[in-house]
Amino acid sequence: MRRRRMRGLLAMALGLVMGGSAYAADSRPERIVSINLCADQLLLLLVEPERIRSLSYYALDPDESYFAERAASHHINHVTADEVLALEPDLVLAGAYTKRSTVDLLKREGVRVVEIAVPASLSEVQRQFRRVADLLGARPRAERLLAEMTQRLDAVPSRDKGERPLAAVYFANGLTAGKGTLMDDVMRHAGIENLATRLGIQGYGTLSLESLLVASPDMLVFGHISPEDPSLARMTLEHPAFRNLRERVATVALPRRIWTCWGPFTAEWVERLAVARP
Amino acid sequence: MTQISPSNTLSLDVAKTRPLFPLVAGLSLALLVLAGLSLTLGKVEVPLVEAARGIFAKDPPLATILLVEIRLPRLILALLVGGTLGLCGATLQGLLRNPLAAPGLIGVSSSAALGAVLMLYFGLAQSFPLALPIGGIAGALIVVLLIYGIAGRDSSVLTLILAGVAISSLAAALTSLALNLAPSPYAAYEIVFWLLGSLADRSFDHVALVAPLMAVGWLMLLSTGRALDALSLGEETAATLGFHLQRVRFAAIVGTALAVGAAVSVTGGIAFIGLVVPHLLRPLVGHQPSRLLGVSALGGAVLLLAGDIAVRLLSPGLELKLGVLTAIIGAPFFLYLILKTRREMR
Repeated sequence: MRRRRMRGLLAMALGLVMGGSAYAADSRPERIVSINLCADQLLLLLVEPERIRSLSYYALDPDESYFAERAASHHINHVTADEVLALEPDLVLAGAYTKRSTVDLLKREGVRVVEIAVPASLSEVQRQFRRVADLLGARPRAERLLAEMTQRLDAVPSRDKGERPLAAVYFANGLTAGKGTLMDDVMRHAGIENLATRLGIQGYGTLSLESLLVASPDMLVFGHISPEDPSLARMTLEHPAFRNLRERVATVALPRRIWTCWGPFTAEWVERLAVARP
Repeated sequence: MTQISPSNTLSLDVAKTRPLFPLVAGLSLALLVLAGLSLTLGKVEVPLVEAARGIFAKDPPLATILLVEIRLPRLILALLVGGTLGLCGATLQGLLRNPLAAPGLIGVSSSAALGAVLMLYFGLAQSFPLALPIGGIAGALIVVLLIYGIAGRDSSVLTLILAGVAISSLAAALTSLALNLAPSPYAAYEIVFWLLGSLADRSFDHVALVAPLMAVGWLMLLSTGRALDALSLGEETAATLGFHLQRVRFAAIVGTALAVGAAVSVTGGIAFIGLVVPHLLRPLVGHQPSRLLGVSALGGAVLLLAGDIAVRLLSPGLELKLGVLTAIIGAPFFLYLILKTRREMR
């Protein structure tokens, strides 16, 4: 957008004149639009309501959105470029997998778009939370929230490596989460050994029923899929051999809103797993 | 393009019983109305008068930007893609003398889709904006070369179709492989959603990228008209009338590959337009292939634009995918059409 570009240039010129000091002032966005569920959560946590111009449609879904209630009082967009442009934002937060065409078009119109990646460990959660907070000019608040998170994580009773129960994870689409996923790191913090990681699965993969029965886990962790959800994964879950296992071991179902996105509230994910630990 | 129609054209105007003008006028009118409607539709209200006034302003207001940078390219792409699908469908059905022929038949749609999906899979789509359509066009061009290799020799129509089936299957399998190996469920969703087909939030960059390829494709396709008329009398008859069948085949298939490849690379998969439109219009033009070509392009544009409008009207929340809608409406309709013609044929 030409006008905004001009304003940006002007600010940059002023910044050059005034030395580094203008950068901080310029970097505190006041009209922020989010077009991604996880960015919605981060905004609701970090920024005063009046600086949030709009949240994505997904933010209202209580199954997916951790702060669905808080989101209800905000303007809602449907992840289209015309809505976002009409809001004249000074910062748009998108996800790494947000519709390419929308992100590209916004950038083409000169809008500042920041794409937020998916963290793969708890330390990455904290690092990225700080990074986003810096972007939003909300570092002090972020530090406070992160301190709470650390406290909650420290309060989870740890276990020695030998006595960790073995758990099999059934995640979105019947996939399991192995090495290099946030789920794996969360399990480690909760004192649980991940069967997928033991089997050498990198990232997301599938657990075969056979290897599951051979490993004979102490615990089953369900995210997203419950036996009631219609899905391919259900075929596995309804297999007699699997049902038999389900009846014998501890099971925990994690609501999607806890693990779909990340932030200080990821601590609850750890806590829920630790509580369910046999 | 090479001259396809021989100079001593015999009169093939046997079926010129119905005048084309009312049909063309009707479709054009529908197109104009729908185009106007399309420009007014979006998630936000744009004051059209203010937007139009701002077009020549040095510093255009937001309304103009919304209208010109977002809705106009979407409209133009709908017309280009719909027209391409209709035209290709009509040409291929004429060439193969088979009403089941559709632009996807020669494998170019699935390979264009594969090219774009690979861009998503390797993360290139995030690093530069036009990666998706460029990947799609690359995929389509590779298939054009393959087809050129096959069609260039003395090959029959059957060879071409079977090769198309093989290429489609391979491209579909590789697309599935990319889904299978996707690093996370989110990455897989991204690929799936792209494949469903949409025109949302495309820009003039997309138009500029695909329009030249489509133009070349369209010229090649339109050049086949008279030969298709001759072909409707049988291959041998067409050959004795002086048409060079190899050349006709080449123009029809490479033209389709260029135009459809470009279309798929910006929109993802959009089903059934290319199959249904020629069927709808064939009786209205008197079953003459050459007269069907231009009309089918027009009809395809109207139908796709209507679909793109329906997608925006039907979904107050998140937008439905255009490719899903065209298939949901197109497939049952096609079934009805088949049943109806079967009854008539009896």
